[in-house]
Amino acid sequence: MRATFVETLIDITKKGHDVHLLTADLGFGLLEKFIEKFPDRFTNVGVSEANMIGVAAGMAIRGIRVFCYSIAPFIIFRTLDQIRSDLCSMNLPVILVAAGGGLSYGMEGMTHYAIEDLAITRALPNMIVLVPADPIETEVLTAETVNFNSPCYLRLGGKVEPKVYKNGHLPTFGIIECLHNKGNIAIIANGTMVLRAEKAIELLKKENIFCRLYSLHTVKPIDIVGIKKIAGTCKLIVTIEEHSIINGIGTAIAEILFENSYHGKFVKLGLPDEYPKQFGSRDWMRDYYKLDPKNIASTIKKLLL
Amino acid sequence: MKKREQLEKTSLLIRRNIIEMCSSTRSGHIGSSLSVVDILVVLYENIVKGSPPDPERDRVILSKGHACAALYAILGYKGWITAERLKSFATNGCLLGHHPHWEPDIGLEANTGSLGHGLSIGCGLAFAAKKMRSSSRTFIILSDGEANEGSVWEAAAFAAHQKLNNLCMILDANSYQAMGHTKDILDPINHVEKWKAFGWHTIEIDGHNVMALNNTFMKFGLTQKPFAIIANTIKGKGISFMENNILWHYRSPQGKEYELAMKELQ
Repeated sequence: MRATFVETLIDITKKGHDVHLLTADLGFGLLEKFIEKFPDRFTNVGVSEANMIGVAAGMAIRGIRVFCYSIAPFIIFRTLDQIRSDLCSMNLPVILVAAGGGLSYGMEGMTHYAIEDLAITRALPNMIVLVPADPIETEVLTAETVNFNSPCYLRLGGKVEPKVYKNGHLPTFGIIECLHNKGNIAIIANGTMVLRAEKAIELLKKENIFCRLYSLHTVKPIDIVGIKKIAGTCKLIVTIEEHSIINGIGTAIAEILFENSYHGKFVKLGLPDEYPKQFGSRDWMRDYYKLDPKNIASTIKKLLL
Repeated sequence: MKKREQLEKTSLLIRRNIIEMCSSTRSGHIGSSLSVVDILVVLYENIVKGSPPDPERDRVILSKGHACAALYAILGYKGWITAERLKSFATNGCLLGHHPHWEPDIGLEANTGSLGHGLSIGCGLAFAAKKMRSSSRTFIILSDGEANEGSVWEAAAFAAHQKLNNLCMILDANSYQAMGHTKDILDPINHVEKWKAFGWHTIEIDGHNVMALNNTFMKFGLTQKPFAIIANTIKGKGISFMENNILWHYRSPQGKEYELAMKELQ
């Protein structure tokens, strides 16, 4: 995903957009491709994330399209005051590129996890929040950022992630994407959880249980119309996210369902309200929190009883 | 180029306007507003080139946004803020509250109020100007209390590393912050040596001496380094009972206090 981001940024810049990439000293082995092509459009500000946001604001005032890169928790939590006052309130189109959303940093531990980032970013006025699920969504959404007139939080997963989009199908910014369209059970996921949900659907299919799969890549502005349509045709909606169950996409969808008198069943799966004490690989951590295909499938089966 | 007498006359007028604005609306932060007046007057009268909406104009950010009464008053004096807008200061529904909101068309170049933001934004403006080969210069006014913030020093390091000699930082060193004397709260030890150590061309002056301010600003941009002016000022400058008195970070003069203040500003 991160590799696709860099490739797309190179494409955007080649097209003539006045891009500048800032990093707070992270991205070794990743950003070099961009730096080699556009050395004057890259600056390492040092380990100083708060300053990076202010610098980005100043540059954006002069019309430069600034991308700020760091590991997710460092770019959003350490800098939150600068983000709300300098970017969101002033509505400057700076793109915050967050590497390793959720538990992606596995063995690095909680300091490197971002499991409350969507709760915060979706509450910030003017902020656009994007969580691509695979390289295709990363490419399309990154390319879209040049059209934004507002700040954006782009939450990426690992360096390379498998594709979930097939047969040339492409997502659209702002529209919840249907990846499987069979049955009247809807799984709505985003980011790395889309692939896991897809595997759960395969398991359920073997037992003649058919589920739809949606990718909510655009968390804000949320596709209210699309979600209402799903609610109108599904008896069970399950949300899956690599984020705290508090105020993530599950909550965002629940708000819409409740306000629109949804009468079906609704369950949100995600991370519990805790900071993990244990360490483990990212896949192990996801499994530990029961966000694995087998557990997702068995949860859905139980809900159908 | 305005002369000393004219500058001092304008400073007096701005101080009167500040008292008027803050008294009528029971607004605070008067001491901080009064300490920065002479810096603002010299900047806007003699130093700043261009005006909004010219994108090539010089930009001033009052990072110590709580002193915005002084900023609004000088922008009103320059005619960038209309008299009508100025009258709305700190009234319900107004767009000129107790901390400035970004409105570049009237010279409010950033949101400020949360301390420690202005210098980073200034770095971005100055850095962008270099990239764009723009002649626009950037002036950022900090308070000495604000220099407690770690982000100020992140920005200071960035500016020196990037050789932003189109960036000028003015430290309104009035020796007071919200709860008392800076030396008692978080001793700055030595402002000049700190900014020098961070790689800035640094000059210390009396921040109420308009000619010293004027002549120091003339040295801006002569080296490859960002420029720091340590302006030693007096909190509440110009009104005897407000000077060096932390109470006037919070209080607003009413009745006899107001009359006495205005009398001293004749």
